[in-house]
Formats: sequence, structure tokens, C-alpha cells
Amino acid sequence: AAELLDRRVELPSLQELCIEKIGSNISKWNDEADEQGKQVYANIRTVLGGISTDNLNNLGKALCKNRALNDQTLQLFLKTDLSGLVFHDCSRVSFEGYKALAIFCPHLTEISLQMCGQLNNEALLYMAEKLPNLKSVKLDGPFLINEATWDQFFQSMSGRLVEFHVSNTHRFTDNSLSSLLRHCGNHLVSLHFCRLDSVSNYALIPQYLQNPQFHTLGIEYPYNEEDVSDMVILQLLERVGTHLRYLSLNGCVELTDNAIVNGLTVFLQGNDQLECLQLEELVNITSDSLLYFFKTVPLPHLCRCSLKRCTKLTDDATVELLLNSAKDKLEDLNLNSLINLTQGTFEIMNCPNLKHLDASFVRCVDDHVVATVGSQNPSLQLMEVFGDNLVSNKASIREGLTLIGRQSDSI
Amino acid sequence: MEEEDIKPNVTLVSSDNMEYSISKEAAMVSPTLRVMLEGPFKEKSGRVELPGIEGNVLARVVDYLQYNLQYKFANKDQEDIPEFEIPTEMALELLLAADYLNV
Repeated sequence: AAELLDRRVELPSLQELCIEKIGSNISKWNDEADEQGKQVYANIRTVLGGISTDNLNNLGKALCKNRALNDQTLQLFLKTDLSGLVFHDCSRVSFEGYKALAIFCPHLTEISLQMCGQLNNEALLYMAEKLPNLKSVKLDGPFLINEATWDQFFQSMSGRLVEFHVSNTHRFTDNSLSSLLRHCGNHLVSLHFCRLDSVSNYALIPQYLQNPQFHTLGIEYPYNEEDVSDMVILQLLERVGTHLRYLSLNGCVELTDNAIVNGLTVFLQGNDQLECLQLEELVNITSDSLLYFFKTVPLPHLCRCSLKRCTKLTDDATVELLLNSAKDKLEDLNLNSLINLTQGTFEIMNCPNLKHLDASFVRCVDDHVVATVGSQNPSLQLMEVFGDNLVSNKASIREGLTLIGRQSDSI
Repeated sequence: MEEEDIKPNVTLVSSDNMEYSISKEAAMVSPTLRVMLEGPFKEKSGRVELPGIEGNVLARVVDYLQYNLQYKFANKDQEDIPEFEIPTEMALELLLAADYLNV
């Protein structure tokens, strides 16, 4: 505000200048082009200097970060031989844009559209129809798609769809879920649901997952917690546990020790491929069950593990994790808000590959812990210590390690 | 690019081994370069290799860093701030470089 009063206007960043240039050129080109002009997409890229296919997804990232992906800039991605496209922010892409994408990127096999609020029924069906090789669809926020369209979409994707992730829409209902499972269930290898407010029948899922290669399962933040019960998870893991590489049950707060002892421990036994395990906010889980799990099941490939806000956990569980064979591979560990932890956990933390540790709101973390963790974990680059008020400006921080969230660092 | 300052200079090296020398102050406009120059890295010596950026693109980047440094605190009413020109044919590559350098 002070700057506004001084009438000092911020200089535009180089990124903004470039995007402006790109945008104005595209619209100029569009104005000049006649009806035949649809062939010009490849030329646009040449005029703007050309870019390799490898870099296109980087370009997408840069545009999304600047909230500059719209129907205009989207044209940069048309007429390419891209097979995978990831857009982190599609909020400004209209349904016309998605249709253009479907027509001019016929080779797409994987598509990830986050914040795709403007994606409508017509555009989704259009993509299913025009992209013959499409097999992986990840959508965040497709709230215009209604029940009938989901049904039609899954029908037309039957036999093709192997990965389906959807989050943040209230129009994906039990009927949509059932349609997905009936038409595509036996091919799926990756399934991820997050914050679907109209889905309650999660119990339906296990019987349809037939693919022995199934490797990614995420069920997060169900609208009614009791819909994702221990029983549902037991049945799911019985079906797909042996080959899982990724498991996330964040926010399924109804789960109890039963799911860990009789589910994870039993059905992940012999699974040595698990790379990512996320059990955030499972407030009913106690240390006893996790201790048993980490003691019984070796997890030699685990590189990401989050136990964030499982507030009942004590040292027993975390110490056992750090003694598990997982410790050699572990790169990312989240212990945020585990208020009962003591320094004991951190003293035995000895992970050669650990890069990121979130120890925020763990009250026992002090200067001594910061020093110990730094020296025992040579690869550690980032440690978060928000809300750890015993970490002072006197803490000795190893070279190459960045500490964030320290109270004394504020402003 | 000659500057009559006494401040330490930084050399930026492009993928095709073109070298550009700018004042450290200008280089610090880029958060990416600042971390490189201040951190415990070999770039501390003042020589930064940027294998992802071509020479002609880097030349524009260097121009922008100096442009930004010069006009950052200028008062719009009293001074005329010239527009920074982006060559059309370089826009895409320049965007990628700008994204990397966070400017």
C-alpha cells in the first residue's frame, strides 16, 4: 500500500513481458488468419522462436505459474506430437480451448488438468471421442460435468482408461463411481479420489478392481468419514495390496488401528514396492498399530512417508519407522503436529537419503535437535520448524541445510 | 555493458560458452542467481554457468537485469521509464529462462 501511495509502480517482470508478447502475437495472428488459418499453430511457435517438445511442459508450467494459460496461450500447445500434458492451473481455459486441444493434439495419452472449472460436458465427451490413445485422465475441479456425462464418458473410455484421478467436484456421485467401475474397473491401475462430496458408496470399489498391476490408490477426505471404514480399506487392500506403489488415505478419520493391523500389515506383507505412504490426519490411529506395522513389514523402497497430524502417535511408531529398512530410501518425511514426540525420535533419525523433513509443531524440537538431525542426515536440504518455539537464532545449522519457519527469522 | 563501477562483477556463462559480465547488484535482481551467489556453492566466486540458456537469450536477460536495477525505484511521474523490448522470435525461450531465473 505504501508503494501505491508513493505512486511507485512495480516494474513488470521479464516473465510478464514475455507472456504479453506471446499473447499479443497470437491474437495478431488470429486476426490475420482467415478460415484456413487453423493450420497456423505450428507457425506460431516458429515465429516466437521455436521450442522443443521436451520444453513444452516446462512452458506450460511457466504459464500456469503466472496464471497466464488461456485460450490464446493454449494455442502454443496445439499441433504438436505431445503425448502427455500437465496443466496446473486451467482456470482460464474455456470449453472451446479444451475442444481445440482434443482436435489438434491427437497423440495425447495422458492428460492432467488442474482447476479445470470451465471444462463442460460437451468438451469432456469431445476429448474421449477425439483422442483415441487417451488412457490417463486426471481432473481437479471439473464441477460442470454432470452425472449423465460421466456415465457416457466412462462408457466411451471403456477398455482404454487405466488411470483416473478426480477431486473437488460435488457432481461426481455414487452413480458416476459405479459407472466408472463397471466400464473401466478391470483395466484400472491407478485410482485417486479426493474431496468428492457426493460419493458415499466407497464400499463398491474393491469388487471391481481386477487388474493385477494396480499400483496407485488414493482415497482422501471423504464427505462422510464413516463411509470409508476399516472394513472398506481391509477389502481394498486385500484386493490390490500386493503391488501397491502409492497409498494415500489422508483425512479418512474414521480409520482405526484395525485398518493398520489387519489391513496394511497383512496385505502389504510381501509387497516390497511401496514408494509412498500417506496417512495424514488419522486421529484415531495409535502408536501400537503402526509400531506393529513397521516392525512386521519391511518397506525397502519407501521414499515418501507422511504421518502428519496423526496426533495420537508417540515415539514408538516413529522410532520403529526409522529402524525399518525404509530408512535407507526415505527422502521425504512429514511428522507435522505429532505433539507427543520426544527428542528420542530425532536422535535415532539416521537416513542417508532424507532430503525434506517437516517437524513443525513438534514441541520437543529445539536447537539441539536441529544440530543432531543436520549432522546425522547428510542429504537433508530442507527442514520445517514452524511453531517449534524452542528453535532459536542460536541453532547451529549445517551448511547446505535450509531451516524454515523459525520464529526469530520472521520478517 | 561497460560500467564504470567499482563493485564486484559477476560473469554469466551461456550454454554456448558466451560470457556476459554484469555488476553483482544487477545479478542479485534474480532470486535464483542471488541464492547461487550467496550460498555455499562454487558460484560464489562470481562465475555462474547457465547451461540451460543460449547466448543470445542470455544477452536479453542481462539487459533486463540492468533495466530492472536501473528503474526499480524510479518514480513514474518524474522519469520516463522506457519499455523493455522483447524480440518476438525469442519470446518463448526468454520466458523459460525468465522462469528459471525467477525474474
